[in-house]
Amino acid sequence: MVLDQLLVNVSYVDLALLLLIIGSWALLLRLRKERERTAQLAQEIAALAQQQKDLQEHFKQGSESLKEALKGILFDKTRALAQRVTELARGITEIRQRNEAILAEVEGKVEPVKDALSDSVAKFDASQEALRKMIRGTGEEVKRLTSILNAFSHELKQMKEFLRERSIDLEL
Amino acid sequence: MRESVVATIVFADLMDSTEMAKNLTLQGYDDMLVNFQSTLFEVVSHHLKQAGYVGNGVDAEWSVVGDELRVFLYSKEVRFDVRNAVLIATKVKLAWLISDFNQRILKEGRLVSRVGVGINCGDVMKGVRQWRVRMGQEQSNVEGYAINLTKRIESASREGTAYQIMVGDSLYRVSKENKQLNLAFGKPRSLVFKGLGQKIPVYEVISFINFEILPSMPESLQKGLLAKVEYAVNRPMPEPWIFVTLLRHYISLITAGDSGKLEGKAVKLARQALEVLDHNASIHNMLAWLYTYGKTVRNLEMAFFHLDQCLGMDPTNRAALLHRARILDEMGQVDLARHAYEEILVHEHDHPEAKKKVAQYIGL
Repeated sequence: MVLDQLLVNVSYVDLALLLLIIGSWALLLRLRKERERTAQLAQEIAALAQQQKDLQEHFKQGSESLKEALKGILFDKTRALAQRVTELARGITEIRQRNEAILAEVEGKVEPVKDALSDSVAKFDASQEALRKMIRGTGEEVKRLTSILNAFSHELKQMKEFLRERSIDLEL
Repeated sequence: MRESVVATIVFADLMDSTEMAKNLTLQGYDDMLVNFQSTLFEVVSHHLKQAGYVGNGVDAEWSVVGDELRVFLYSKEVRFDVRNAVLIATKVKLAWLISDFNQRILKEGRLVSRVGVGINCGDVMKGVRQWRVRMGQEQSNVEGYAINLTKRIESASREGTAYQIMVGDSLYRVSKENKQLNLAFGKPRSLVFKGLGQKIPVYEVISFINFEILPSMPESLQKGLLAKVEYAVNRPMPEPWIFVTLLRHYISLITAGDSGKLEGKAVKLARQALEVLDHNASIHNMLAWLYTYGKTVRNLEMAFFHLDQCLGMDPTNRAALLHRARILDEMGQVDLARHAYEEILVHEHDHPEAKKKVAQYIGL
């Protein structure tokens, strides 16, 4: 009833002012909340930045330690490896020298055999070539002789005919 | 270098060429001349190569100037040169007879253009003239009395009646000594030639029996050769020498196994020749041969008749005497055959067949 009475006696302007005051109050409250939250966020950000900074510091320190550690490990490892490589190279050189000596020794023994073989191969090639030539030559010679014989046979035939005809000439 | 060699010289030219030059147009005469010169080239170059002459002044040389052919053969074998000279002469005549020019004339029924030939042997000087060398022509020059004489002898060829191949006394003697050369000559004519001042004996070839003439013609002239010769011999007034050449060729074909119709054809041609030729001893001989050895025309009596005819004209004809002796032997006339063979030996002491037969008869 009060409200009804109030509403009856309140004008629309009053109502609008009331609404405006309420709105402004609500807005103010909201702004305050937002500001508080922003401040909280800035704090959180600052904390995070600090944390990051700490982390970076830690990481830097950690990496330096790791680096140092790795350096040590690698040095140890490579030194051992270098020693082993040096040993290996020495072994290889020894083997190579030994091989060369063996090769020289083998070469000395093989050379006469090789010479003999080369000589035989040359002789074989020569005889093969000679044989080939002989066969080819014989073939050509046979062909030539056949041709001569054919020509000779033809010549003989012609001569025979010539003599026969010549005798007839003389009998006419 | 100049040297003296014994050369056999052949001169040949177109008979009545001046007359032809008058009657033909300039172009027509030149066409004929080109045809004649080409024919000479074909025949002479082919024959010299075939006979084995080196040419180019080594053992032979030849040239053609206008309508005149000059051939010099000096292989140092005079008999060989003589035989080749006569062969060249006959081949030239044959080649000109079957030439396009003469074939046209034959078809028109006119007298063919003939070639007159003079052949002789004699010493000539052979050498290269310096002025020729300077002209860039290094062929040798042949000069000598024998050449002038041969030229004169050749000019007498138009008076011939058989081969119109005239020869000088030197060649006649060489031919008589050469039994392998079946050449027969007419009676000698003593002619006075301009510039020679004395009578010179000249002989005409009246028979030259040689199997080589037709088959050894150049290949370029071989096509239709026999048919052309047969055509020429059957035209009016054929040249007498064609009969002997063609009959000899028929006999070659018959001996090679081509008898049958050819024997009859040969007999017919020989009979025709007897009517045409003045000197027909060789034709009688050929007829006797056909009647003796022919398969389809064999008739020994006819053979005997023709041999008698031949011997009547030439009593020493070796071929006729031989065939008569053979026929008598075959007929069993022993005494007559022996007599005939003995007669051969009178003329030719070393005749192998006659000697053998006479020995056989004595042994009987």
